[in-house]
Amino acid sequence: MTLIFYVDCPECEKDFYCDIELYHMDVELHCPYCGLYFKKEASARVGRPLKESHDLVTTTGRSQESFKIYKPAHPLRLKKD
Amino acid sequence: MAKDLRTFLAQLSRDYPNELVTVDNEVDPGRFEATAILTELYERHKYPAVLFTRVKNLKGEVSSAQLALGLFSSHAKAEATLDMKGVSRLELIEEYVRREQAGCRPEVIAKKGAPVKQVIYRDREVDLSLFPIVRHCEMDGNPYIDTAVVSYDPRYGYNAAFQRMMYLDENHTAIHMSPRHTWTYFQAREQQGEPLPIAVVIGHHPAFYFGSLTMAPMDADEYEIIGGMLAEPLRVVASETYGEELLVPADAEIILEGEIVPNVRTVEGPFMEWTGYYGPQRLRWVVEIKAITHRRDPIYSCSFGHQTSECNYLNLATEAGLLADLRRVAPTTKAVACMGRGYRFNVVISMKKRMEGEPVSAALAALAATDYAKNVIVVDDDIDPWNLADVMWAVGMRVQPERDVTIIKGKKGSTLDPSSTHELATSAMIIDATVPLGQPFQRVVNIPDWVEQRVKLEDYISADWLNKADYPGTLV
Repeated sequence: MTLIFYVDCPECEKDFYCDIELYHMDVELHCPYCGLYFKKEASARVGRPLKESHDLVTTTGRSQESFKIYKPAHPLRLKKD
Repeated sequence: MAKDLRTFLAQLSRDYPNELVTVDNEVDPGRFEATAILTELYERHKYPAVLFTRVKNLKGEVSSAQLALGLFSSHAKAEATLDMKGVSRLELIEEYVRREQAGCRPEVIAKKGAPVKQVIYRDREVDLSLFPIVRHCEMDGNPYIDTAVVSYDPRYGYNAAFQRMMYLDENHTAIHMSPRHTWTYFQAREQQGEPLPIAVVIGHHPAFYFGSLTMAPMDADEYEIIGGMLAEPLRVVASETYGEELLVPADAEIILEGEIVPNVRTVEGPFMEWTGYYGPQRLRWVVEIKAITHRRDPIYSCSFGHQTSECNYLNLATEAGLLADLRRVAPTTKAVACMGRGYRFNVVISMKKRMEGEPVSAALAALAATDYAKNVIVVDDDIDPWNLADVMWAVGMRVQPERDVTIIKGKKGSTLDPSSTHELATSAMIIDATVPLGQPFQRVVNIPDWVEQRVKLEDYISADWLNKADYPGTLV
């Protein structure tokens, strides 16, 4: 585990949390409730942790510049009853 | 007949009829319905394996597969897994250690004799959404495949380990790897710009998964350990994609063949973990599925790990691994228990202390043996380590915190620990709750033996009252 930040989905407005490394990366987050991919800048509320204690080299082993980001062309969207 | 999921379900049906229940109503596992049913059962203190015969796939259609869940959720099923009956948890653990050390070499068979090759999809035919992949809990990032993943490294042999895999699309998943064996295999490949071939083993005999949870060192071939756990050779067969370079279990229900792709990441999570918390969304690795092979009318299966009942018995492997390790350091270790929810973080060691310092040495060995161990309590051998009331009695009555509590800083911890503020490092606590040697200590209260032997309860209180089924049986 590491530090996390909360974020609201711009579409369904429900909140979830991510590893703080994603806060510092240029990646789209994925809403677990509705399946939307979005940049954190699109969110109405992004909560930051009070302190940050580690750099961007984590158990993924690499910094963002050294790998590509995969995003499904047709993300699974969860529809409610 | 080789052991597989079907022989196990038949064994439950025959020998443990209360341990298996069938649901014939239509259920949509991708919309939480299967795990909702399990959760409701567990809240009523009922822990059967559940076979769902009519389940929807991720397209919303009724799948050709059935779904089996809760295969690890009781002591009786752990007994059935190891072909034992009427034994204690410690006896199960001792048997696990014996089978792990005995091992059994796998048997390579031809494809025509492999049940898992009855149906084969390759390349563009691959479509994971045809299966009833389970969305377990509300904040899970997507439906998850939560089962054993097999990989091979010529330096070390076969590794099998539980890895969570998040559905991304028809032929891709994300995969979470803690920095242990599979991660090490992949790191070596990625440094060369090469993918790591893997096989995802869905639906096998629970002994296969017990073996997948071994704490054996990196160079132990885990197909041999799994054979030991099955008490027969694991039958394996060449994969469709990698041939004999990746042998896959022939008696599985479903095999997903694929590879962890180098230099590619994706956002993965959150996911309900066995800690009882959702692990956060983070950047993780990507798996490209190259082929799917399965039996006709397969039975899909996975773990429901956040439930204490299920992880409790999946954890048997950790207790066995720790017991074997600790007996090298402290031969009088009687038992090792992982305690409570979030079980592997709290370890209780029961031992017959021979010298001061031995409990701390045993605790340090436990902390070194597994990343998860964080709080270790060492008790004397008069304490049942699985009985929390007894353990806390020992902590209350035998511990002087200033003397008996040791804090360790900066050990390797778990990526799943929600309390940690570092990705991998954690602190740890050792509580030596053993009675000090070499000095007088108070005596545990008791009734004289000569009176206990003479007094028979039935002579004083009616059998009717003693046998009352609704007597609560606990004080609090």
